Amino acid sequence: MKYNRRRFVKTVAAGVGGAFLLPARGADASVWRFFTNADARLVDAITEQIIPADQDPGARDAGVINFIDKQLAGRLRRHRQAYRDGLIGVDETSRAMFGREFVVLAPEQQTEVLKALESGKAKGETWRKQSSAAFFRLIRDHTMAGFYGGPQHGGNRGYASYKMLGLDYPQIIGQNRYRRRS
Amino acid sequence: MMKALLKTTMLAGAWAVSALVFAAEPKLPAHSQLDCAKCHDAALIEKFKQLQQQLGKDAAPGWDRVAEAIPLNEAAMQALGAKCADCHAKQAKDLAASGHAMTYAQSFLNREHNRMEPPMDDCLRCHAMFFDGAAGDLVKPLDTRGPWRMADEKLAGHRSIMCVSCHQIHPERWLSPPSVAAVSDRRTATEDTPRRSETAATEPSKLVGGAATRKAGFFDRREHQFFPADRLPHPKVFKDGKPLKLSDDARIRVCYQCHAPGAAHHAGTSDDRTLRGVHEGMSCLDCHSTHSLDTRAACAQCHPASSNCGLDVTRMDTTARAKASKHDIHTMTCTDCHAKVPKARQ
Amino acid sequence: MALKPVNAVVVGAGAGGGVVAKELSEAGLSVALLERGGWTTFEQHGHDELISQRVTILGNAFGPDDERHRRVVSAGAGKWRTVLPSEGGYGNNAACVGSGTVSYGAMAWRFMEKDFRMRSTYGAVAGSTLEDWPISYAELEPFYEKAEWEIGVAGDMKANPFSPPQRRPYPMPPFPLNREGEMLQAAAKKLGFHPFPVPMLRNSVPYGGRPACIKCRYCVGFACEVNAKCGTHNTVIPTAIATGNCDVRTHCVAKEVAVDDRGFARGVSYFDANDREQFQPADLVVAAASATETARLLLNSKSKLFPTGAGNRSDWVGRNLQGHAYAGAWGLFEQETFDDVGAGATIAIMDFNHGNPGLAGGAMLANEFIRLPYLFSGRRPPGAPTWGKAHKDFQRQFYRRSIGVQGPVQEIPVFDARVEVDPEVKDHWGIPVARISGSRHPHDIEIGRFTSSKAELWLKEAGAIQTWTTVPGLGVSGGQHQAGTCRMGNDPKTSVTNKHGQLHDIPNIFVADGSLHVTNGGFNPVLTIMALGYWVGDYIRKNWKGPKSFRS
Repeated sequence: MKYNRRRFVKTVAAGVGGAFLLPARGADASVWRFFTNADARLVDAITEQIIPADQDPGARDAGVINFIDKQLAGRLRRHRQAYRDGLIGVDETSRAMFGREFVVLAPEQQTEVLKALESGKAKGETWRKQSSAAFFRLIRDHTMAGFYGGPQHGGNRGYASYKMLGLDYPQIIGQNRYRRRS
Repeated sequence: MMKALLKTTMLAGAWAVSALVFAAEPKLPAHSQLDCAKCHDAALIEKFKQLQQQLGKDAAPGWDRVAEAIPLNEAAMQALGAKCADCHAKQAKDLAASGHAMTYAQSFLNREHNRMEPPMDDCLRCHAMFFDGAAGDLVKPLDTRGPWRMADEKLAGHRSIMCVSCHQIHPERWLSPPSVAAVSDRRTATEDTPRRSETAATEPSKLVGGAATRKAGFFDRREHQFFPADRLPHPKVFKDGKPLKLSDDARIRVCYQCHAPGAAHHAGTSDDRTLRGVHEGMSCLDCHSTHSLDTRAACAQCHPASSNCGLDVTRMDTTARAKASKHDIHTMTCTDCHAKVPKARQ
Repeated sequence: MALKPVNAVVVGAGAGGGVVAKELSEAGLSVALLERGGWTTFEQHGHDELISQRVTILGNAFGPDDERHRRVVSAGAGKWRTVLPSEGGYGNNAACVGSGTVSYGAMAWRFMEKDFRMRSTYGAVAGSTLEDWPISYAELEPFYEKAEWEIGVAGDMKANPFSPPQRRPYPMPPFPLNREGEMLQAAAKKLGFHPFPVPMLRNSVPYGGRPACIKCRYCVGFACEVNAKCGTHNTVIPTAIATGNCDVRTHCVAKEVAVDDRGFARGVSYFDANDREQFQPADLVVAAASATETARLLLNSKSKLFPTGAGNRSDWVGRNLQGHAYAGAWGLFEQETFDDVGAGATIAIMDFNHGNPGLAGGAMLANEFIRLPYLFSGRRPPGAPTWGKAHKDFQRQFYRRSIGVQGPVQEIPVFDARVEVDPEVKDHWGIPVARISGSRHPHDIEIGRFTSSKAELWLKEAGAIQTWTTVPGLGVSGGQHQAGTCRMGNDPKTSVTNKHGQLHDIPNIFVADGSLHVTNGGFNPVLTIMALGYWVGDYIRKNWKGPKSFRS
């Protein structure tokens, strides 16, 4: 019987000690795999609306932006164009509704913009390419996955959602070797 | 009331002693002050510098990003693990003499065990955390009949548990993925004002167990992640449907990742050694030394060398391994030895 | 260059194919077992919810991959859309040794006696090809038993008056009820229902040289880390290999069954792990690639005598595609229902499989497996917010305070619900892909409304403070419980195979998977597929007299 070896990426001893030794390149160089820094601020703001912080961390604290960025450079690569267009569309809708970019809106205004997207009736040229509702569903699902999925994919930092749900993680569980003794 | 008071005093006593032991250790520089070359070879450091240049930024690139660029196989992990002893000689020596020093061969070729339960992927969770494959790549056959052999003889002597099984080597702030806050910070951060994202990550732990709850933890191979003790779940264990009192010491969370009860968390199921009986509520580390696991010195911290019945506590058979012993420290109750115990003290 | 001939090629190492391969190789036939996927282990994806069998947002844990596989699905109004395996609508099962049996929830149902006699029980239904099976429950019963004992089932039907007769009890005791199960048991008794523990293809005690289940949180959708789930990959396929007669060839994709000019199969063309085309000559061929892929394989197997595909002279291959119209209800509770003791589904009733007034069938109802956090984020009553603070509040409040009761409604077969091969779209190897179209019968929805109302009643009795039902719409069927595309029957004009799974047209081609199902039962179908594997294998064994056995 032959088993596939998984590509086991070890993280525990990876060296990052030189992190602070090298000079910085331009302040606008993107720290993200796919997004520009500006894109990332926008996506971060959208995800925080989808799962806002309250007594428990929200999407921002849980690093959902890192999940989406990482996956758009990997398994969700096929959705890149939807994001490129969709992010332009979000700001178009935002300007049409409130005259300003999404990230600078008050939280209540941001909610209104996203509700407009969700309804499929958002204003913006870009939404001729894909419906605003379809893009909203996409980013909503990715936010949920980044927040509620396993931390190994870049989101759910500090296992925030598992803690919120009271789930032991990693689960404390042994094998059945021994009979119950007490 | 009396019992509760006694117990608290005992716990406090044990805690004070172990704190003293810690304080006596020689002061070593923090890992963050070390040169990469102290542990890593030149090729790896070069790869890391390339990654840094490629990313072109001064923020830490994040754990997962580094791991993608510089995957470490088990051989590299074993080599790295061996470096720890350069500075931590006593701990390494203690570990090497302890029950945790088992090799793959000892873990996976145990006939008594394998006849009861066959080797399986879940074994690797505690017994081969860094292995590059599945159970079938480590031991053959995966059944209860045997005879069992290593899939590759060269694996036989590998350590099941290494320093990095329970210790994260790099400070956590280096390992966080990028965040929007960090990017914004970068523009305002100066030498004197650290980035918000860093300060948040380095806030000292307030848990019982102190700084060790950050230093110790558990590497979960299923998630490919290290979980510091302060983030691990605190165990809840039940006996006859009622919750047992468990120590607040957050360090015991590490122990429970492997020495775990079954899914319903009944005391004594699976690998559970939760203290019930007279020692209920104590921490594993009240008795066990962290690396040697040695417990011999522990009894005398609270008990007179010779107990009331004349038995020498330092020579009693108190280990969980001694299944026939009445003095298994984890389960013993007053009535195990004393026929007549006043009801109030039971 | 042709490979060394074998007695039998089995295409597909899943529930049916794994069993047939074992039956034939034990009888001394040389067998090549082709599987388009590979061996899997827990180690590959662990408990990763986002790459599992239930959630495929980051891909299919157990195959097939999105890079090389495609299907075409009807988009209505004569339009078609191409879908990837990880996308909804593909109707994925799995592609690995053991197929769905690696990651399934492992409910181990026998169909009931009436499930084999649906036409006799309910008469003709307009717009449906509803029919009796050519075999009875009694004929299949010994093979159910064989599946239960060789692969391993834990359960006890004593408390279930609707259980079909069982000569021999299950080899393992049932799993205890979890907290949800306890709550539902008490409620069911008050309602006069007849609850009993769900039979499972999972070890409740050590069995078959494998350990007992440790009751982790995960299970359905994942490979088992302690190997306690019983699939064909850890039971019959290793047994087949141990005979020395069975060669399991992984990452091999079948292209077509070659049929000679006299109308007999010569063997199977396939692409090996290196994408090289191979021809494996064989005395007989068993197609066990799932209802979608078996139909595709036969339709792609064109020959002089059968230019529209093997077994397709009457245009029945790929017809009657069925799955299960899952219907049920969810309930929210004040007290915690979650006890974190897996796998979660512990209690069932069979009170509503048959005898429902005015309805041609019904469904078993059981409580759901543990919902993981991402999956639960999509479980909301109609109209509830799908994002924002209110969505998060719901998640926090009800993750540990909800119960789902669901059941697979037995679908009424529809002739035009079908699998074809697409005239244009091809996969990585240039093989025309499956094209799926048609919709469920409207009666499925009526049955679903009825069974879901019973599920809701049950949850209310258990103390739910809020409930809602879930009933599927019409739409393309199939999915993980896909079945029916190579119906067995006595009349070659209205079926594809005879009652032994042997093509009416080509006697040395057999089918041994859910394709054979005339109807799909109101149950998870895997144990029936396994039993059919034994049934077909038994027929081949008994009639095997050497290479020419099925060429007349």
